[in-house]
This record gives sequence, C-alpha cells and structure tokens, in this order.
Amino acid sequence: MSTFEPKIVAFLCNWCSYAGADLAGVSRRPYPPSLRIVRVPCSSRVTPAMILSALKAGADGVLVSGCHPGDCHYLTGNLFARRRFFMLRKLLEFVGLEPERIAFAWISASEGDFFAEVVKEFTDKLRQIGPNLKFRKVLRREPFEFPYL
Amino acid sequence: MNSLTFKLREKARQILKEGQAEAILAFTEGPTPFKPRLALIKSPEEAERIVWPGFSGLNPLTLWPKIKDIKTAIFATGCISRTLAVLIKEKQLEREEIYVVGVPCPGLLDPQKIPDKPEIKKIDEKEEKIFFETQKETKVFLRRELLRETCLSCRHPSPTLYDEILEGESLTPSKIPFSRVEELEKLSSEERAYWFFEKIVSPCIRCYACRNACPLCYCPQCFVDDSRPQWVGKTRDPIDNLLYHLVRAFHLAGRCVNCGSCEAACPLGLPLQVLNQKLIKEAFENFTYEAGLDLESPLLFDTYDEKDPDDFIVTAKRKTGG
Amino acid sequence: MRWVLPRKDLESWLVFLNRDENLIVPDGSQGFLKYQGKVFLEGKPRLSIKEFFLPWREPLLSFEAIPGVIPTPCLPTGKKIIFGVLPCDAKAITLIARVYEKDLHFQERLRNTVLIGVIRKKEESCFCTAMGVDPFKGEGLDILVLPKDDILLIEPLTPRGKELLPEGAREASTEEENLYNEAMESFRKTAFVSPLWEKLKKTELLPLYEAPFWEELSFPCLNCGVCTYLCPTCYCFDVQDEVVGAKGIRVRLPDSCMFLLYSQHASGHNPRKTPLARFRNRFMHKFKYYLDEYGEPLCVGCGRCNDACPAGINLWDILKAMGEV
Repeated sequence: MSTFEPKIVAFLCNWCSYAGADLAGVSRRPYPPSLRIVRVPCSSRVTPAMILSALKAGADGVLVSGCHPGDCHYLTGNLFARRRFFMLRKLLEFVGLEPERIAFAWISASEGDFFAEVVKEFTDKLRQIGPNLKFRKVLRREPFEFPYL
Repeated sequence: MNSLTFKLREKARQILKEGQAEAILAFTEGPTPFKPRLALIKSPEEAERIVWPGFSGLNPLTLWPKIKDIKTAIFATGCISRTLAVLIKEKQLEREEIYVVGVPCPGLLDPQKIPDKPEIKKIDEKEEKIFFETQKETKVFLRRELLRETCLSCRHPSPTLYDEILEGESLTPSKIPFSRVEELEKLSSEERAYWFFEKIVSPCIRCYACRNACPLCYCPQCFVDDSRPQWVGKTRDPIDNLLYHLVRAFHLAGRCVNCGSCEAACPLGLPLQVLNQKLIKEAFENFTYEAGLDLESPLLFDTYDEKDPDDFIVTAKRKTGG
Repeated sequence: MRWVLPRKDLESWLVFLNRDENLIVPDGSQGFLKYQGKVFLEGKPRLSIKEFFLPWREPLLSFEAIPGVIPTPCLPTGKKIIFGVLPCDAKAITLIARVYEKDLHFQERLRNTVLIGVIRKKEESCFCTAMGVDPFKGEGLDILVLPKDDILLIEPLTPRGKELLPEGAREASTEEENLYNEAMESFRKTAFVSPLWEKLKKTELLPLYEAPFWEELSFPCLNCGVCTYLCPTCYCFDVQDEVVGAKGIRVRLPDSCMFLLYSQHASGHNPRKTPLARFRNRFMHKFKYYLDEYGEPLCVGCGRCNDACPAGINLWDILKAMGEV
C-alpha cells in the first residue's frame, strides 16, 4: 500500500483529554503525528457542524474526546454530549457515510498511555479505510450545470 | 362545503365574538384549492374566508414570529399542538399568548399523489371520500389513497394541548410510523448513500424552503448564513448540500414533531422528512422520547440519563475488558 | 419559410443535433438534462433553462495565496444546443440579457448556445400573454417548432438556426403553412393582453411603495427562495470565494432577494430588514423598476412561482393590488 498518512482533527476537552495528551507527551509516549488538536472547553462544545466541516475541509478522521462520565469539569457536560454524538452517529450511519471516520473516546488526564494507544489505533484504522474522498470538498474549475447527472 | 371548514368558521366567529382571542391564524381560500393561504382573521365577518387546509402541509406556526402584541387563536391538529409545546418549552412563546382550539385531524392530503391532475374547479372532502370536480366530471378518491406520507406515519393525530376541542373523528394512529425509514435501513450502506445523494443531495437547489417552512427553525441567523466561520458553502456543491441537509436534520433532533411542513414546502418534492423521521425513531427507541407530548418533560438534548447508550465510545476500561 | 418533419423522424433530428454530444433536452418534470435518447415535450419542467446562462455555480477566477501569482480568469467553454425550450423561458433570457449586457460570462454563454423552442399545450398556470409574451414570436429562439398531429412545423428564426434544420425536412405546403397560421391566430385571438402595463408605467413610485396592501399580501410569505430560484427571469447573484488550503476559486451563484443576507451591509445595517420589505422589493423590481427602465415587466408568465409557492401566494393578487394604486 502507498504511504498514506491520515490527517485527524481532534477536539479535546480542556480538562481531561487535552491534559491526557499532554501527559502522553511529557511521558515520552510515541504516537503517530497524524493529529491536529483543537482544544475545546468541554466535549459538549463540539457541534455536528464542527465535525462535518472538519471532514469537508479535508480531514480523514475526527476524534472527539472528553472526560469520563462523572468527571466532567462542568458536572454533566459530557453526558449531554454523549446523547448528541449517539444521534449523530445514527444519522451518519443511516445516510451511509462512513461513520468510522468519527471516533469518540473518554480519556482522563491520567491516561497518557491510553491516549497514545487510541491515536495509534485510530490512525491505523484510517490507513485501512483510506483517504477521505466522499466528504472532502474539491475545488472545481467547471461550472455546476448538470445537477442530475 | 367540507364539514370541517364549516366547523372552523363557526368556532372562529364564536371566538372573535366572545373575545377569547382578538385574532385567528388560519388558512383561508387561496388561488387554487391546492393552495390555501394563511391569514390573520380579525373580525367575525372575515371568518367566512377560513377553510380546512386539505392539501396544504404547511405548519401555520411557521408564521408565529410575524404575530406581535395580539392575543391569537389557532386551530391545532396533533402536530401543530406538539409544535406549540416545543415552542413553549423553548421559551419562544408563552402559553397565555395563544388560544388553542384542538381539531381532531383527519389527515392532510398530498397533491403529488393525484394521478394525472385534471383542471380542478372544486374539491370537496366528505369523511373518507374526496371529490374532485372538473369541468366535465366528478372524480372520487379515498382519503387514504391521497394521504401525505407524513400523515401515514402520524402517531398522534389528536391534539395533545388545547383550551377547547372540536368534536370529530381523527385519523387512526399509524401502526407503521417508521415504514419509510425501515425500508431504507434494510438496504446496504452503499445503497443508502446512493439514495441520499440521488434523492436529496444532488437535486436540492438550496432555496431553503424547508428551513423557512419549519416552525422550529426560528433562529434569527441560521448556521448556513454564518460567514466566520462559514460552516456550509453557498453553492450547490454536493458536499455543501450534504452538510446542509445533515445539520438541518440534526438541529431538529428531539424537536421535530413530524409535521411534514418541510417536505410539503419543497418545490422539487424531495423526501426530506425521512432524515427527521430517522432521528425521531432513534430517539423513541433509545430514549423513549417523543417531542411535544407535554409541557413538563425536558427536551431530548436538555437532559441525560446515566444509562444512555455509550458502547460507541472508546474507554480504557472497555478495551481491557475490565 | 417553414419546414415540415414527420414526428417519427424527431429522434433522428435529435441524434443529428447531438453530433457534438452537447444537446440538452427536458427531463420529465424536474428540469433540463443531457440528451440520453429520451425527450419530454409535455408539461412544464420545474426548472427553467436559466441555469445554462446563470449557472448554479459559475467560476469567475481562480487564485492562489502566493505573492506574485496573478489570479487567472475562468471562462465558460463549449457550445450547447438546447431543444424543447419553452418560448417563455427563451424570452426570459432576452430580458436578463439586457441587464447582463456587458457581462463577459453571460454573453459568452449566449453566443455559444442555440435554443430550439417547442410550443406546448397551455397549462392552467400559464399566463404569458398577459405579460406581453407571444410564444409564436419566438423571441430569443433560433428555431421554433410547433407540433401538430403527426408532423412538426419548423420555423428557423436565425441564420444559425437554419444550419441546424433536419435533413429529412421538406418545405411546408400552403396547407401546412395555413395550419401554422391558424394555430397562431386562434392562440392570439384568445390571448388576454393586460392593460396593466401602460397604467403601471404612469403610476408614481412612492405611493406604490408605501401602499397599505403590502402588509396583508406579504403576511403569508415565508421568505424562502422558491419563487426566485424557479423564476426564469430572476437574475440576482452572490459572489463567494471557495477556498481549500492556499488555493481558491471565486464563484458566482444565484442569490435570492427573499433572504435576509441578500441586502445585509458589511457595517451591519440592513435596508431590507423586515420580511415585508423583501417581499415588496421582489415585486417592485419586477413590475416597476424594471418596467420603468426597459419598458417591459420582468416576468414572462410561466407560472412556476404560483405553482411552487408553499404559502399559496399568487402573482395575480399582487398585480391586481398594484394596478389599483
């Protein structure tokens, strides 16, 4: 296979997962350089439009990660988020659009090792699926005239 | 005359005379029998213009933001009363601002289902039968042949929230509320993706009729109008159309009451409601939640349960099997 | 001079027209599509041929965020033949062409597109004659076809139309010429020509603008873009930059005066903030501003807006009200 290096946009919650990523770095835990991290205040700050427009902009995968249930800095933010992501996944599955490209994880600030593991596995999985072609927006020089073809 | 039209007019006159409300938001006779038009009726004489909307699937509450400082009454079928409940929960209007007359709904009709539409002069509805008068003849159809897909999937045809209710018989609640969704679920993932592109994404011209016809899409600035960041491109690019339709459906998750206003408004007749119905189905099956059945319970995304399904989320514990 | 082609030879004509694989024909009910062996000449397509002159996405230029790199213009390429055009749609293109007189892209498309019109049966929603459109005049068309029983009566209207006449066509006999003239006269006899335009031309602008009827008529309007997107004469556009990474394309796309963003200024001020103002602007533009400027209303009476409006708004009610001011 070619040397396809996926690009992943990761939305990490400020209080747990971002600190977890930090710990992975501090403890010299290697993980693939595929990640582009966006720090968000809470996993429930992440909206479907954010996830989908990351894919539209050319990301091969999106990782959303927050605190474990019960650990949320805002008490219940991640529990609200969980419902939303559940419904989003169902909707994407329904329209047949590679829901595997979107991964969710609960990673606490102490799970540096696990963070590296998640990123590694997700990257491997995306390598198998291949580059994002369905969702990516391409610039076309041609006008758009024949919508029914 | 349609017996429901007669009842609505009588009730409208009574309300305006007795003063439960100063105005009534109702459908009036439009340019053709298929196109009744919403109006604000303010005097008992004007009430003669009111008709039962028969072929218009538009939800009258869509125009609610245009009504200001006037106590208004509305004729509410099942879906309209549920819309009202959601709007009240979302603090878009106060319960006292509106006087609700419940109407047991016999179901609305889809003009696209009439085989070779003749030049129709008059339409009459009598219980289970629909009469079309053309210049030459009168054609008869059965109501269930012409019912909208949305109404065929309706679980709550009777109003759930009202100040008074008209007498009459409503549609039987659907036994196959998610038939359209289930049919697609049987297909493979690729086939569904093909269906989505073929039926919704590629023909859509992005006129936003679905958004504007939706009574629950009341944001002063829609996410498609945002320019920094611009979530969705403005052209008919397939990816932008896809993003628009997915996010539109998702913004209505747990709020959509299956009124079918979006589908009725679409100038190309695209099956937009199917996406919403999928979300309604998932909310019902996983959270036993239905939007707008009462005024107390929180909206789907306004609450959570510790036992919510979470097997799609990766955790360290689940990985080690501990 | 007119020509006659048996209807059964229509397909061979279409194959002849499609020799460069650039023939576009009506596709059932939705719109126009590349020729694939089928052509529908009954009923009114929901989308007009406007999309071939003002496409849903017209790239204007492409650019790169690199110092010294000059943007390169994009121009439409290739010739097209559109068969089965509604005469009213072709007339609409001539109305737009007056406004886009100096527009590079539009004029390029106009030069490279041959329009072959087919007269169809009048539908209930049609009112072209009231807007001063005569389908038999064939304005904007290169060839006009009148299907009559089992023959097609063909009238070439321009030199480039003459070149595309079918090979199997013969000159029309006097009888057949009469057949055409009869159809034309019987149509013109029943045509309703509205006296409204002469009146509206004289109406003062301000009283019309401030007339009280706008409030009642605009009440049901949802301010969606259905009427403007389906209208063959609505020509407003938006310009957007589509950027991916350091590369981008500036595109032009249809816009609708019904949307709040259409008239939004960068300062935040919006001169047409209310739904009423946007509603009024659409009809004032069509039936007053354009009329004053060019002497014709910006409407060809195809009836698509009335057919598709989800709120049941009818153009005639508005025209009636405007005429009474």
